[in-house]
Amino acid sequence: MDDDDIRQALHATYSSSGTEPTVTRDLFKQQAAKPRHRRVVTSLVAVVATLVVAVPVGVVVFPRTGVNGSSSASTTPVLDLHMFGANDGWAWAGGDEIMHTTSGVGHWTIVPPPIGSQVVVGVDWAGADSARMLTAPGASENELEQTYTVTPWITDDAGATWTEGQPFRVLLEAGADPTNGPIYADLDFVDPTHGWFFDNQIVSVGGPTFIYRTVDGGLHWSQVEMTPASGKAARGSLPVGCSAYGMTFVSPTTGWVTGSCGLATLFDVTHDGGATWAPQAFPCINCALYPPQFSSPLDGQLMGGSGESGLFVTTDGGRTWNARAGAPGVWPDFVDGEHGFALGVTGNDNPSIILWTTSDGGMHWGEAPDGALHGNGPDEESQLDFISPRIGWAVSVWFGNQPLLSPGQTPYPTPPDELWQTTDAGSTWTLVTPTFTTSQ
Amino acid sequence: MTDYVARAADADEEARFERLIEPHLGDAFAFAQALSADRSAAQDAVQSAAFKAWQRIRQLRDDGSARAWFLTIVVNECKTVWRKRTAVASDNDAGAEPISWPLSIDQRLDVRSVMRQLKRDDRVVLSLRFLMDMSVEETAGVLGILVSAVKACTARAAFRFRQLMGHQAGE
Repeated sequence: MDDDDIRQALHATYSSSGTEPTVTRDLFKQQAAKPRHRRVVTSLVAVVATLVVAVPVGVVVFPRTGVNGSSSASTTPVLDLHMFGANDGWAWAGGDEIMHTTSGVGHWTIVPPPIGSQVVVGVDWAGADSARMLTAPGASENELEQTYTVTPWITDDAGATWTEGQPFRVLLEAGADPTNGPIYADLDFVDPTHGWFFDNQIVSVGGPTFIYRTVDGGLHWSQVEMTPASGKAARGSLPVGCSAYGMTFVSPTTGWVTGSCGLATLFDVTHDGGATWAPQAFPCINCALYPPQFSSPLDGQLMGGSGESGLFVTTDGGRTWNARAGAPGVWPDFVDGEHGFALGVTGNDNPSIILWTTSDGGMHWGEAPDGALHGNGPDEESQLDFISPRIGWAVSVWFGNQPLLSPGQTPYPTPPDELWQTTDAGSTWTLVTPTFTTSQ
Repeated sequence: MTDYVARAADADEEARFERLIEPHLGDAFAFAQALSADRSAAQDAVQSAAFKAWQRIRQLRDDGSARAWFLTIVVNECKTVWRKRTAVASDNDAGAEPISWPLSIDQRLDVRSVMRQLKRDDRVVLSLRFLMDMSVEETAGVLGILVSAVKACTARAAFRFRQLMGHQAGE
């Protein structure tokens, strides 16, 4: 297959023949006449594996109200929301806009680290008052691998003060602020002391893989793993030529790198903090696997498959994994080994948005009580962050832009940007409009 | 964060949009399909890109570069959709709607499946070079990277594409 064959295959597959959409400029005028907020989302903020559930929760643009309730025209897009309890949590709006709350999702304090013009490589929440960030020079916003100086930033007082760690040099595919493009690096702390940094981009095209580790809270980093782009990997290294989708640690010593090697499963484990790796048996030999998320030191879940994606769970800290029923929603959110949630729709011709739940670790899924939301709750594309079987949040990730319409078609209604909260396991939802304070 | 400027185009700008951008909607849709998980996501991306192009048509200084300018917006919109769709499920074959192509259904599905297995940046480069038939210079302009980088990315993306197609074919 040469370049012309690729060209022919792509044209035959994607080139439209009379199916191109049309635009209705009158709709643009209506759209332009309305004040709109830019919505930004990220899917690639690191998959977190702290000892509490740590599911990155998409993005919603919160209208920002000034201190003491004074209104402001600006907005804050939340790229990542993680609550450690009903009142305590972190959110990130891109760049230096780190936000912290001790009073629930209704009010946030913006606590920016002094990163200047640097771009963010990764952010992770190491505890209710602890956050970690890696930044790279602004010039690294390129899609090519180069060696960059990465600077660590650390706070353990809820962002009141930030400490700059020892910069280190690393080969990165890109150090990109996800407000301006996707990021691919994983930054993963299991506690405020132990963390790992993994650039998982290059390996997908045969580049080298690097893993760095810190054992002092992020002040200093050292390389613990290097797999070359080609040739033979050293004994105990990750395999060459695989697509690594991500990395998760469950303890200071044990973690996994997951993905696929061609059509084979990539599921390598380390028990020495990332220094040596070995394949681990997994109940699917040709699955592409996304990194697991742990809701406790023993209970973890991961999604993967060889076509349809499925749910796999562990209840023994990752030693063994078992396939479960396919989750009815896009990405289930587990709060412990038994209780999980997923937003989806009923399968009939007039679908309703349903909150699905499981209380047996994903073996069976059913509708939550009053599970049909009927517009009084998050839409099906929202992402969930539950901290207990009853308390959780959902952020709307609906873009709102009108789909292309044929003449005579009616435009879809555009839901507003939304943050919803439930305290009764999703039976009822309350819309939250947060306010913001700047710390400096 | 500030909103993007919500401003209605005047009559001249509307005419420019109609003349310079609308002829490329078909290309943009094909391109967005190559980058997106499904047809619906591609429609969203193109619609959003068209809206932004309509708003910003005044910023297009060189009429001759309208196609590249519009495809740049489409790339950015697709990246925004990628960031929105976090889950593995949204990036699989579910929801892909076949259109009418000369290839067999099996082969079309193979191509779609292989494209989805590629790194997203590789999808972009491959699609610009071989689906949009852009030169390396034009592709470099759209992506804001060096020509040499486009060449390198194209080579490795094409290598990966062939490799995966070989797997699909059971080679």
